[in-house]
Amino acid sequence: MDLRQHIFKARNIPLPPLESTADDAEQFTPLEWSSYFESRQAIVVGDTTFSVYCSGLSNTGPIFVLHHGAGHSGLTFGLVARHILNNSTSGATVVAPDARDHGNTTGENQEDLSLERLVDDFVGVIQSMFPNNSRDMVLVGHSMGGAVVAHAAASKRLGNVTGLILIDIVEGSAMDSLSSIPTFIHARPKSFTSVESAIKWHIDSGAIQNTESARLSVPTLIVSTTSEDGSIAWTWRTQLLPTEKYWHGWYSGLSKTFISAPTAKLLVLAGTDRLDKELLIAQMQGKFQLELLPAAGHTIQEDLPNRVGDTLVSFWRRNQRANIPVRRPDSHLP
Amino acid sequence: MDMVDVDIGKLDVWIEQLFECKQLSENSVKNLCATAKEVLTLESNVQPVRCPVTVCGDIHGQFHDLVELFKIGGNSPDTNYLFMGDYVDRGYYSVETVTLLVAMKIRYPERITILRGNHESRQITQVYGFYDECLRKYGNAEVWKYFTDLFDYLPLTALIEDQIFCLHGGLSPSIDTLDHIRALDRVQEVPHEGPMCDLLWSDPDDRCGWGISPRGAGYTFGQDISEAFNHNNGLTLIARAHQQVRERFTWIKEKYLVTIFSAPNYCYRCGNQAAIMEIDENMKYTFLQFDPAPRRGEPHVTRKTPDYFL
Repeated sequence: MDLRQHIFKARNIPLPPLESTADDAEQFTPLEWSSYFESRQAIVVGDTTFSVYCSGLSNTGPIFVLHHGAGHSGLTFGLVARHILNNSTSGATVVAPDARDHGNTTGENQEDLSLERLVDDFVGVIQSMFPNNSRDMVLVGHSMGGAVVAHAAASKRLGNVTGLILIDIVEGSAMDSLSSIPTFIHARPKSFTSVESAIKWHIDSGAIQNTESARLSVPTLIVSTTSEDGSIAWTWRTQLLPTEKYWHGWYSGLSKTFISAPTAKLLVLAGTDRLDKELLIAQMQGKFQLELLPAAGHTIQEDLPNRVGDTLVSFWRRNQRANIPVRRPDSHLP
Repeated sequence: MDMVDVDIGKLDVWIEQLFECKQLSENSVKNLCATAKEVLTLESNVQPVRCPVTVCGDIHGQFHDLVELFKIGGNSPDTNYLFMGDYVDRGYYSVETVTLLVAMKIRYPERITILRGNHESRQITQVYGFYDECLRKYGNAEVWKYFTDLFDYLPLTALIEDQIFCLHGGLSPSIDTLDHIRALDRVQEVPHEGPMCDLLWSDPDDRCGWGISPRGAGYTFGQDISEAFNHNNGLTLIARAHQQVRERFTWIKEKYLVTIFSAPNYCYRCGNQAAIMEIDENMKYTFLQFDPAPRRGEPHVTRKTPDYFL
């Protein structure tokens, strides 16, 4: 059974209908980031130069800050960013950094991927780009990135955070799956013969269900290496197995941190409802918003970018303070 | 009333079968829902209810706990019941639970009142379990369609003896009087916003005034809002469900509002007690708490864990 079949059998759902893209699904050629973001900034924080994809930097609406998951890059949000800029009147700014040891971010000592390090990096980049921020800021994190933004929001180190959005990360089920992740990583190809074959693998395996997304994001996940016989191979940009010692720390206590973050909160999950007990109680008490997108895989923002983009903007819009209704005079007590 | 091939004898057989947690045939559900639609369509958006009556909150497919509830509260029709929505989703027996309550409603229309909760909706049931359960138990989505079409006819609120106002969620900034609710066109899918949405989604809050609901639908409302609503409408109390409460039920200060949650050990893992509210013939109310029914042979539904979580 191939991995794609295995994944869908495990999830027990039919192959989902996808947001259609104009591209020919048979084409696996890479796409340029510049069609999806307006600029790429180099932000130096401490020992590291962070590559940050940006759009709408001169806008004055809300700032959406998007943090990718482990092994991904800022381009995982490329289609979401373009959708937000093209299809909303929010006047939004969208920024998506590459984390330490990911994408185009470079520097010494890149091996520390502890939660504390990642949160410091994230807060440092955002403070550097938006000092003394007074605009609405919505923090969005996918998977591991969800843990980073949740702790950043709870720490109150960033100014005017009005929203916190976690994409497909739940402490309980993450903890349950940690022991099986090394097997999953080992099952991936060690290298690819071309960028196109890497893109194709991500589609065929079901890791990414949207070809346009894969053509944009996958090229940043691999780097070319020359083997002894002079042939070129493409290997993974970020080695995930050495980060295993940090995994527990990423997710331990995440539900409590998320629930206690002093801002509006949204959890977006792929597949069916799999809240842990703490989140279930909090949801039943009405403490956060839950969106379930059964058609998507784990990388929801790549599978359903338009839906995720719309969800981000409507969440921000709904939680603006101006939306609180004023008591009408006739409802006052005499 | 034209009963569409459903008579009392057949209803009694169905109810007996359902109390054994055995689902009805697809065709029986079709007839049941057609009959129920005729009954519910006659009811008001603010359905009048007489005391004595026992008021219940969320059930969420926890069939064995519903049977426990009837043990604690008394059998129907000896005890009158008012259920405030959320019969389906999350628990393993949404089909049996909602089928039983609808069958009881048709059998004893004056003694059972069933309101609409935010989970009695096509959109919500597609992702929180009822749709999947119908597919699993019937092999197709017809039963889901019969029930979700029926849900559009469920009353939004009830009014006990013109004094106690009952609904699933809470108040709406678009609604000042019960007549505003009576004027709503309720026969539709639960909208994403507006007064009908708010009645099924809003929550009370410690803060005064209206607030944005963290749930993403409805509003939060303070005790000042409840007090004003009760005063303007000659009410003594708002009874609602929708939230699990740590102490089973809570009084918002000054006793304007009570939350009743009737799913013990919610989702088989929250560890909470449940409660129902008995209102006697003199409109005095008391609360009965209850624990989960003893489990035997619970189906082992594996929680799908994702393949990859980094």
